[in-house]
Amino acid sequence: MKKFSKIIALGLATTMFGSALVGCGKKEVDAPPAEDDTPDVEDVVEDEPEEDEQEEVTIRTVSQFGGTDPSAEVYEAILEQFREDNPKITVEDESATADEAWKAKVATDFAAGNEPDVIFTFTGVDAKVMIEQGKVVSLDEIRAEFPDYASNISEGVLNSVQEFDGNTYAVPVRGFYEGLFVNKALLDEYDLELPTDWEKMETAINTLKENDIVPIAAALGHQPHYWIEHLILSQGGVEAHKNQDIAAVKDEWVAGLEYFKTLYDMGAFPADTNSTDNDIITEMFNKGDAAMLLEGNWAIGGFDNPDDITVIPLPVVPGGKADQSDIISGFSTGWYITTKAWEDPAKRAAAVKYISAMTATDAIGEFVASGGTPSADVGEVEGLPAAAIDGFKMQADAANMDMPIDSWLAKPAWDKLLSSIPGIATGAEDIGSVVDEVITLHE
Amino acid sequence: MMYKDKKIVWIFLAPTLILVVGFLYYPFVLSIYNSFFNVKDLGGISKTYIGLGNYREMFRDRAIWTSLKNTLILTVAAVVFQAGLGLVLALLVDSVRRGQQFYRTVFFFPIVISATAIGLMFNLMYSYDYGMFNQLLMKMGKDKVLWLDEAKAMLMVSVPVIWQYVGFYFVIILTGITGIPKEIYESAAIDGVTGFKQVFYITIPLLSGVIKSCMILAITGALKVFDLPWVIANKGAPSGKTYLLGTYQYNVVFNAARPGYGSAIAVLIVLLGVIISVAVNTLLTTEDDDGY
Repeated sequence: MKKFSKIIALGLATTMFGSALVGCGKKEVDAPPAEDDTPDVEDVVEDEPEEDEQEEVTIRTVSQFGGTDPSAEVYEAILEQFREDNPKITVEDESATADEAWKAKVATDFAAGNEPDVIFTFTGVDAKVMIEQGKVVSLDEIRAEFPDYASNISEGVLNSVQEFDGNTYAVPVRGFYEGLFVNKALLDEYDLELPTDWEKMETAINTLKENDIVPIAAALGHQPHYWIEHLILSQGGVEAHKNQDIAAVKDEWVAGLEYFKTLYDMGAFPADTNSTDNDIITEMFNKGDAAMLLEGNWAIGGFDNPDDITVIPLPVVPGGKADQSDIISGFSTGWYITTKAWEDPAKRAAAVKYISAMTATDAIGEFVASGGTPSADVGEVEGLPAAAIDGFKMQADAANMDMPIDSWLAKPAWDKLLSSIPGIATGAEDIGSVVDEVITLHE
Repeated sequence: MMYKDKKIVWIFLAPTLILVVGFLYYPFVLSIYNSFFNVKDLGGISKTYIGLGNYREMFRDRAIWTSLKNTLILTVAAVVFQAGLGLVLALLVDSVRRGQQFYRTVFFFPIVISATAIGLMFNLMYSYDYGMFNQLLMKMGKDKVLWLDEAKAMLMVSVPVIWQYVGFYFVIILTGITGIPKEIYESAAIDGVTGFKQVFYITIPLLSGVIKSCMILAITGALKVFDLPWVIANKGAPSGKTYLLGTYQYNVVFNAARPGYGSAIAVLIVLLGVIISVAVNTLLTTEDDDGY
């Protein structure tokens, strides 16, 4: 499934990049043609009941497009339009920024029978429990009654979010990539080259450090997620990174994670990297007080100066097996209809209508305007910032793409790893013992 | 007044009983039950009976010992500084003739601010690059300080926790002081007992019941404190050095998705709370009173 996902993502990225080159002059990017017979938005909602047939109903929604999420504004606008178009459907929206606490709240809500009617959340390991409990409805079941549901979404994208039971439940909006965001203006100021290899990375770190610039904005005590994935990918290559038999690739994990200490000892991270949080370090990068930030494409929407920023793959560590172009990328989120809403005749059509509005081709086009791979053929996306265009190029150039480790690693094991990173960086934790514990907790 | 028909008593008690049983005793019994299982998700699907396995793991878990140590330190600090400073401030304010209401308001004010807001405020003060403290130091030509490093972090977390509740105990004790009849002080003054002697021989002995109540409240409050430390030092930052039993238990359950092990920690917290409260109550109970 992962290989397939990778091929799909690669295909999409390549198409987007090709289109980007064509439209670069006017900052326009042709989005990938998802499938040949992709219908228009109008077709998607064709079978839905007319407004006057719609009875008054309230649906509860939860999404990640809230709080400080860069797409919150786009989501709010689409939601308002939906409310205007559907006065008989009251939407109680409980969107918030997605972090580990948000994931925990979603999980406990589902466990306690307090799940919403529709939810935009993660696929993979985070969705496993709600699928096992039969709390969400598969696309096949929905399409049996609403044949055009999510028909504008590329079949390849839908296949890429197929779950362990062979069914697809989520309707993705956009794919993601992670990469090293670099403030080009800051590097130019100190005559530094883009860190496209480890040597240049070390030079940049040392020079920036000497000039009181934080080389890499990172909150290792709060969100070391992307660094864990990239250092293991860099050291072991994509084969080791996606190998779920961690014991078999333990050496690669240990060697990769050792670079936390290497970078920490070099002074690459902020002085308070073990106690600060992600919002502060993102702001640090945004203000030009830090030169690099390892993040996902969703960060672009929050940048004040996205045209001064580029994104590149993290340089491969010395002796690393990854190709320099390898990145973490794929589709890992989507809209679900819960069984609770589906089994309520009053809510069923409203839930379908709501998700159809949120995943309409136009809506997807707006969501990807700040970066990310669209899940449908959105045509030309205008006004993309340089960072987003560079992101598409990075995806197109990638020899290999893989999903993040936490898309398959058991939660207890992942939390152990996250909690251990500050200790690994300072040298207080023995990496081998940490990985052994991760292996035990993952079993 | 005694009701002959006991049914009315049960009717009035029922709402409270239902709430207490439903939201306190039932979850606690369930926690004891779950503590004997290895539960690998918040939905409770993957559940394996492991007997005392979770309790055995606690002995090996370094984070538990760090949390326990921090919790006990914070408990002692809460008694000494929250109740202690509350007493000192109450005695001082009681001795001023004008502006008592002003001081009451000022000292009580932090209580009405949400712990999350206070946590965020202190986060902004402690921040290394953008924090108020370091900005002030730099203005004075000093080097920046890493306030939340491994050595100082627990102290930095404890300061706002203690600061927030000093006013609470201040108000309780001040109310207790105002309840002491003025005639006692007037008689003492005639006998030549004034100033500090009045405080030590009249005020504090007559406040012993109130002080004991404050100490018990400070202890139980410190044992269950969660919100403020979690906001200031998420996941026991840095490196789990500021974990308290409450914050560690939350992380184990909700971030690590291990409700079974988290339940075992919850049982430990309750046991510890009961043991400490009973011990303190016993130690402070004199022959003259029936205790707290």
